[in-house]
Amino acid sequence: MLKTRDNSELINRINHNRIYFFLALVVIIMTLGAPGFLRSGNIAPMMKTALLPIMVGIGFTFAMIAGNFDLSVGAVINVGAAIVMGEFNRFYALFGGESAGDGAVIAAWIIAFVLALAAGSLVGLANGLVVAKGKVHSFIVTIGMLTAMSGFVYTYSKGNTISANSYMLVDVIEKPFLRVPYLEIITWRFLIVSLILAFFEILLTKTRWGRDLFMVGSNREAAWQAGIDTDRKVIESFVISGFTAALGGILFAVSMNAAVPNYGERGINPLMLVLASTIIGGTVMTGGHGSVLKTAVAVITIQAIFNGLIGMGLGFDSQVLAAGMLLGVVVLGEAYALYRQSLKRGERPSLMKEAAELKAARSSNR
Amino acid sequence: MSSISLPLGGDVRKTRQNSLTLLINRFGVFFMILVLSGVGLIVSPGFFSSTNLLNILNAVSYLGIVAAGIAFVIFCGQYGDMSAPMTMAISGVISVEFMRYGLVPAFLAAMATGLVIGAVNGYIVGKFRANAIIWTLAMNFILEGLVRWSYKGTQIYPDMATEKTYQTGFFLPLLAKLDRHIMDIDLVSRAQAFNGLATTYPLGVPLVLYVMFAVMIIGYIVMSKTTFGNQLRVVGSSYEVGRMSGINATGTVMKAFMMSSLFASIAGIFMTSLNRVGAFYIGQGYDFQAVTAIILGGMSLSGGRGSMIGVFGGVFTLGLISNILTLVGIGTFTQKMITGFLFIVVVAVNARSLRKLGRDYA
Repeated sequence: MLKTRDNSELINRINHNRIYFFLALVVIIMTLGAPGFLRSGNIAPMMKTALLPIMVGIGFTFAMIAGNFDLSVGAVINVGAAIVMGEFNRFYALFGGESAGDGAVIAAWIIAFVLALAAGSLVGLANGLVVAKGKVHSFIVTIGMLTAMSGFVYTYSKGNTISANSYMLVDVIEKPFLRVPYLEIITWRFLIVSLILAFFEILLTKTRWGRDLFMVGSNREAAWQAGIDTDRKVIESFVISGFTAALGGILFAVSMNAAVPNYGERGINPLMLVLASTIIGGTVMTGGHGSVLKTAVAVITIQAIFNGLIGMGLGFDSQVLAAGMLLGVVVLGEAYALYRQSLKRGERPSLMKEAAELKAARSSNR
Repeated sequence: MSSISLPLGGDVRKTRQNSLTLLINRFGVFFMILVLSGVGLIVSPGFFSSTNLLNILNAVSYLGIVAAGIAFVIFCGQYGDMSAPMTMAISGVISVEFMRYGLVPAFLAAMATGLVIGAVNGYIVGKFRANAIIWTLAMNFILEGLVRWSYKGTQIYPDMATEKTYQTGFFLPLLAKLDRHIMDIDLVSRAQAFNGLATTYPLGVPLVLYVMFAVMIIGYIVMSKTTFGNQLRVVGSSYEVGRMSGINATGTVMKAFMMSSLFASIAGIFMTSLNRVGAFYIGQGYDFQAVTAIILGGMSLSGGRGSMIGVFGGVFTLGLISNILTLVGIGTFTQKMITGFLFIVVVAVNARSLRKLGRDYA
């Protein structure tokens, strides 16, 4: 093979930012195909549905940058949701219920949030410990955790939907600040998700911690040689994944005032969405490359596709099919790219070029 | 002479395995069965009655068929086949579609579907070296979308069909176009034969159990006594070594996945017959349970290790655990949780013991 790879700067840059082009393309197609796609009444609910996968995608991206998959997020969402609702009800009743006033509600919510977030982080910690110290493949461990946790949620909630006995927080968290078209998407939930997204993007790109994580993902051995505690980095990335998945579930449950034990088991699985978005967003499956912000943009892109399908008059089942197809294409494309890369490994383009020039020179001499 | 001897202490790696470790590694699951049987006897005196034993086996027979298939995938070093649940569902749906022309076409169509799914999985995993779990998970979602989309979210009943039924589905519109008298077929008698599959008891033992043993014996012979089995073992131990020693590695992986999907589709037919309805949710959870059973049975996730006898042991162990927990009064949801944790512990211990032996990562 005498072909040399064309590594021009522009193509690289376009490839790195492919998700923005993809989003633009989707928006253009959907605007043309689905009437009313760009109306505020359509965009606002769409963004609202995207908040959960964006939140979960943060941690998922972190785990993937460190070179691992966290498939347990699908169940950790439900763990967070069930615990925050169940524990709120328990402590609300403990503090005296309705007769105790607003103070009891706030105190109960704080305790419930802390407990639910701790539960999510604990699941992440367990995942991380088994992966890093036990040296077991992450997808094996986390798929076991997925089953264990979905069993836990059913046991905890006895298979029922749990609703909070107070509507105070729902009213606060879901109320838009401004009743202006397009700006009505800005609610407390939106702000919380945006702030956490910004925090983790900065952590990833601007701090030493983030650079170390990239190094662990791209070459674990080299990172260890450079003095990075690689096991600790992997465990931390899993804890972040558990934390954000639980927080996503918590915010979702609070905004609906209901925690179902099987959210996503029938229909469009959040795990599927997050997995597809993370890969579309440019995070490499083998680790060492990725961005939280791009994952979030990819989530919005996929939501736009679903939304447009509904706008075109296709049913929910076509959405499920589209989601599956999208994930399939993305995984296949990524696998194919890695396969091409592995074929090129060890190839020396400059030597090949030299050999070709030599051959050409020789034949012209003759 | 002494100048060329090894440094102090010499090579510290074990060159020979401890025979006890090897024994536990190979037959550990049967010790577990012994212990669980003891626990079962304490919990309930009627534990060893033939009815209870038959109940246990009957409960895991579907799992056994699926696990026998996925064992091939794990044996050749590919972690697992997460598309098994939807392979079961789609085969069930297709067998219901073809059931109106008799049981044989139903079986053939369903198994052909399974083989196609396995071939696709196997090609992509074997050729492009895609991560098996992630790809088959994606495949599972694609298949779910396909079934739901083509049936518009509804289910298909073997004994009921209206004009409208023939407008949805995979092959029903085509069948309706080819056969103008399709509405005249007496569905009730055919459906009775189809639904009866899961409730037939030749000699007082469910038919599914015979099928499970047949599948396991075939699996054992293929895996341990044939050239293909040996090729699987080599490719499972090391893909590169297999490829460089002249084995068609892609083809071997492909065949392993086809075995997995074929067995899953057989289980799917019986499952659909048991539920008397074809739907996308048939077979949910079987992927993970099967992998758990296989790992319990001493097969290593790094491939090339273990046997079908161990798989049967693992399946039987899961049946025993479930039976004992039910006797104690623990619900199915908590059982699911316990199985999940058990899986993580077994995998971690397995990986650790292999590493101690200086073998490899699992």
